[in-house]
Amino acid sequence: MSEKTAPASRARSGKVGLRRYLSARMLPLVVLLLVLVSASAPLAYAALQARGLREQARTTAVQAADAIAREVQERPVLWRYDAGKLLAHLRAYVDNAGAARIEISDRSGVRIPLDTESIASPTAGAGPLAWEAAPIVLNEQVVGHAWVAVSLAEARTAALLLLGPFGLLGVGLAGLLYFIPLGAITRAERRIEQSQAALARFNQTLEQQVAERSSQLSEAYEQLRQKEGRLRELSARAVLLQEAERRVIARELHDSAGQALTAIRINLQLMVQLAEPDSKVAKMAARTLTIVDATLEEIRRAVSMLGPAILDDVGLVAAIERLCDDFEREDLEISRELEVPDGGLSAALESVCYRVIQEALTNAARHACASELRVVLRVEPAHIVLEVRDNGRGFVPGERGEGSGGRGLVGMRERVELLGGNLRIDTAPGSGTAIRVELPRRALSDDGDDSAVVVA
Amino acid sequence: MEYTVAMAETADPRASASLAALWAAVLLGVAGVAILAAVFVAPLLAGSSDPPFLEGQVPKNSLLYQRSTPRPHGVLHLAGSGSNIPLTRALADAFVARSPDAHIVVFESIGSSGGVMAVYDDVVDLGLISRPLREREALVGVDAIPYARVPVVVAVNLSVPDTAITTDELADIFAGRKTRWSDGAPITVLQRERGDSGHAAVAKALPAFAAADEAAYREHRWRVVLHDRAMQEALAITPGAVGLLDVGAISLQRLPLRALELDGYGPSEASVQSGRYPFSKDLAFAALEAPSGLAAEFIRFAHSDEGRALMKAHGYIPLPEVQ
Ligand SMILES: Nc1ncnc2c1ncn2[C@@H]1O[C@H](COP(=O)(O)OP(=O)(O)O)[C@@H](O)[C@H]1O
Ligand SMILES: [Mg+2]
Repeated sequence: MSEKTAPASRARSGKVGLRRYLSARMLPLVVLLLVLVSASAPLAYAALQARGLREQARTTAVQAADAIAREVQERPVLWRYDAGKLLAHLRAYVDNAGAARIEISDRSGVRIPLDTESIASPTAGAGPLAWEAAPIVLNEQVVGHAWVAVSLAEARTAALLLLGPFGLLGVGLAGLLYFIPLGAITRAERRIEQSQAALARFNQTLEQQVAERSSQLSEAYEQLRQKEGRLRELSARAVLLQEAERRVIARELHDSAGQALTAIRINLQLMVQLAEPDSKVAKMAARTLTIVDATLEEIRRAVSMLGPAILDDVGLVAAIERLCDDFEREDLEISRELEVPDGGLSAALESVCYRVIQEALTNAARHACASELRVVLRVEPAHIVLEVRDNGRGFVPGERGEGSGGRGLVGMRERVELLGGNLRIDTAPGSGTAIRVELPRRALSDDGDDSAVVVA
Repeated sequence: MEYTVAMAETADPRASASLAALWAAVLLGVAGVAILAAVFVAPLLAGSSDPPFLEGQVPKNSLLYQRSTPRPHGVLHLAGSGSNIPLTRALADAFVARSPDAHIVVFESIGSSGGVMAVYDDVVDLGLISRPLREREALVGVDAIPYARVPVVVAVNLSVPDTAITTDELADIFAGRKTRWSDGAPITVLQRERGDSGHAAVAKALPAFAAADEAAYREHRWRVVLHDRAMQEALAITPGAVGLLDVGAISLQRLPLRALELDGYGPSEASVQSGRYPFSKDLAFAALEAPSGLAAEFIRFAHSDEGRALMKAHGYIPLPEVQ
């Protein structure tokens, strides 16, 4: 309950907050921009205009003062009473220089009355006047001032009028400044909100998805395992077929060619005995006998290569016993512990067991310099376990072990794995070597067809 | 997420402090603009409706009153309206001829108002005015002492063939409705400045002229001449010219001008006195206090038989000292 409302309120405050944060900071800037834009141009305009007008008034005052000064020069005392002449001088300035009013004041700053009505330009509106003065000088003495007034009303109204458009401009710019980033942030906020919602949705579906995926994964794994199993079966079957084939060939060789050659040998021996000693025939027969012996030996080797025929002849346990007997010497004692299941083993298993033990014994004899050897063949419910252990010098597996020297260990492992078994080598320099093989018993017995092959 | 929330919290002291600082900076900026406006622009724009000088007459006991430079004894200074000058100079010449110790200076025209002001300021002994005193002038203690009445004539250049017009025609000429003399030559109107006593005298007697005259000033229709002397010269040398002038000016200075008859009457004493010739103005001395010494003597001379005879000889009508 509380977990559910917390993200919602967070999301809401997050949304409101971002906008409010930005707008709170934009507002002062916007106000500043508004003030600056709307005020500065009219102010500058008003200032320049007023300065220009005052400057103009000053210039006019100087000119008027000069004109009056010439009058003063001519009539040092009475000049100020000749309103007509003064007027004539000054009126030109009112008309031409745009002065709103021109007045002359005397030394004491009292206005000299020029007319019943003062000189004022008809265009000069009411409103504030800016007065500028220039001294009227006679013999380096100031005898009065010419005063010129300009109307500031126009400059004021112009500045006020400018305030309108520039105010609008300021409002426009400020609006742009304010609303463009705010719009952007609003959009961004909306996107954040959307992604937050999406994230929440995603969180909800994630577990489901994970469960889905892992079930898919295990399914795939299962499929893979099945495929691997089938592959292994296939290879085992191939091995079986091959093994069976080899035994057939070996038996054929042994039974037909071997028998025939043995018969030939007997005949030849008879020929040697029957022929005259040291006769050509006897010599030839003796030579042929040697060749037949060699051929027989070749065939025996080929037969034993193709398949340990001894297995067919004496069975696995006896064959292993014989092997051990062969390897036993005075300084090498081989202890054995051999058992096979009641139904016996399939031909493939038998030959693999035989070959593994053969290779292991060979290696021990060749490389280990061991004094004791132990060979174990044990039956477990699911496996046949093979162990060959010596107390020899051992080696570093992988250093010059499998694959690096001969093909012995590699071939061993390949044979075992083709039948779905595994091989482990426990060894270290100076602490002997133990080779342990586990072979699944029921690798092939499920299938009726295979057993037929195995039998064959 | 947590960070956003932290930023959004207005209660967050750091965020609100930075916001306050921002506002402070902005207000400072606005205040800066305001100060700029107040210090640099406002004084430029601020005018004063009060003129920067003193107005009106300076009382004599005021510190601002300018004492005139002392004038030498035995010299009479007169200044004022140009209308008075020809007659006054004639009177002065006659006066000086009778009493050789005396010296009289009649300055060039400064107008009636200037004459009054000069008298008030004690720059001259007597002012010369060709119009009635204004109330304001009477209030500061200036008195008018009339001495002659002068007909205002319609003077024309000698090239003009006409010798008489009607008052209506005069108004038409100044209004620009009548533009040619009887021989077809164009009429050139010369106007005196606004407030001239001659124009005032005609305007008073002829309302149609007053309106035309005023309109002409407004529209700058005619050439405006500022002094009697200039007016006389301009009339004398401009073909087809017409303007208002004092009768005495023509005869006293033997100007090559002709005065036109108005509605059949010339500017004679009899027709002026009877009112048949409608335009005239009164000439007077302006004095601050009761004049004494040479000034009083001169005023007496102007009203003497000799003075009156001189006036009459030149078309002026002598007036008694007090009317
Ligand atoms: N029982 C053992 N004791 C000591 N060293 C061994 C033993 N078995 C194998 N090795 C070492 O492992 C190597 C590889 O053996 P193997 O693959 O059978 O090839 P090969 O016997 O032809 O040398 C041997 O050369 C030997 O050095
Ligand atoms: Mg080997």
